[in-house]
Amino acid sequence: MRFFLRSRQFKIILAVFCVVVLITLSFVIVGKHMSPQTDIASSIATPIRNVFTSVSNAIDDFFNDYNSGSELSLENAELKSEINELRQQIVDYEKITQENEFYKEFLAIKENNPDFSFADATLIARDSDDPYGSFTINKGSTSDIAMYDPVITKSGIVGYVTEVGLTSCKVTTILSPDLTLGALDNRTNDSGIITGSLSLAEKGLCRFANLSRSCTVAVGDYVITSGEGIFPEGLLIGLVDNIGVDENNNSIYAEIKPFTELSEIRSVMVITSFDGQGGIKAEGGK
Amino acid sequence: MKNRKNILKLRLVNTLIFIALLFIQYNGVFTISISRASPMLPLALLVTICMFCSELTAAISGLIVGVFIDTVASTPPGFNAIVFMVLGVCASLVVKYLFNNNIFASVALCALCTAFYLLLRWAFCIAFSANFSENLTYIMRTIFPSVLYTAMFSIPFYYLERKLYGKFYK
Repeated sequence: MRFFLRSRQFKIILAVFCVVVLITLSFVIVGKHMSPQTDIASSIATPIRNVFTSVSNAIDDFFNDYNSGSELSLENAELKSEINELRQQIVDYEKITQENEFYKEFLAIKENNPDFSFADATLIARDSDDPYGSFTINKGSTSDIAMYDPVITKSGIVGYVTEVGLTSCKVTTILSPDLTLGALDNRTNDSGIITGSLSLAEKGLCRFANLSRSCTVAVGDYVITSGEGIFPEGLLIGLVDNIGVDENNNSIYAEIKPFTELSEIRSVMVITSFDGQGGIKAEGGK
Repeated sequence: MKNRKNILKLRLVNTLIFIALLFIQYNGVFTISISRASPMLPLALLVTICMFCSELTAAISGLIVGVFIDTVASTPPGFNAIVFMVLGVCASLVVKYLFNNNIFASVALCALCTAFYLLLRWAFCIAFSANFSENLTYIMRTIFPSVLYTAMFSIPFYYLERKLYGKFYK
């Protein structure tokens, strides 16, 4: 061991280690931007991940389609090859239909919110070790995406951008306790804060906290963004699933089931700008 | 000359295995988790490779794998690059000075490295935003099974690497 500590190898390893730590620390201090080595690696890996994602999506679609049509394929065993061919065509067709629907809904959201600027993106990687379900998308700063940009789908809010590279960025979901956003009950206008917790994230829920004790929030109510924080006003968040009183008996909280099924996301929209975002920029959000 | 060619071939094969494992680990479509236990496949392979190579090679391998994991993992920037580099060097040194290079050492090292990595990640990313019972549940029901699940993969990886090193170095 003493030989190793005196060796040239150890000095090289130590030097590389110090350089990586210094670069990383400088970028952590500056902000949660991707460090240069990560950004380069990400630029190399993103096209490969795009291909891998397309292939695995196609395989997934094929098996989903196959399972739903297995009876038919058994009855027509002699036409198996033909059916497979047709099925492949259906997969392609469904893919195109899904894309069309996605863009139609994308257009609808855009028409309803003319002040929004969007960047549509595809999920290319998911961190399986993150209990809050964070993921990576295939668009970055070259598509005008910046830190804290809201990420949504046609169903509602997904999360926000927490790390931006040139060609990819990382998204933290609304299940994470790192995210806090102002929210309103759509029916009663009771306001509170949406945040996540480890135990709720496992059930795919988040918490609508700090509700006053006199509030009339009920199970089944819709919860929307209030416009406080990094999200624009009026975006759908989820449905009230359960109501309780906090540990200190001071306020009411509700458990929210997000409208977006976070484990099944494939495509998202990043809101790159909207009216009122300037205020957040001034606060240091961007 | 032939030896250098063989080393390059070995590096290429290992790189391809790493790419496949990174895709399996971090793809957005399917998961290899069982309940809450999710194996760290790239770490299991890295530890096994580091058992057969020098400290410098282990450090560089760890650094490269860590940088690529940093592009997708929800950890602080550079976290994986640093931790994987340190774990790679440690695995290489432990086999050189403390353990024998056998399957039991591989499983033990893999379990230790995974436990260290997951606990460090928990300390950095989860511990302070969750309460005591949530943290305890996370350690017992996620980290502990994940360590065991990852250690299981070190068995095929060890035999694969031993075979590869035997083939390319003979």
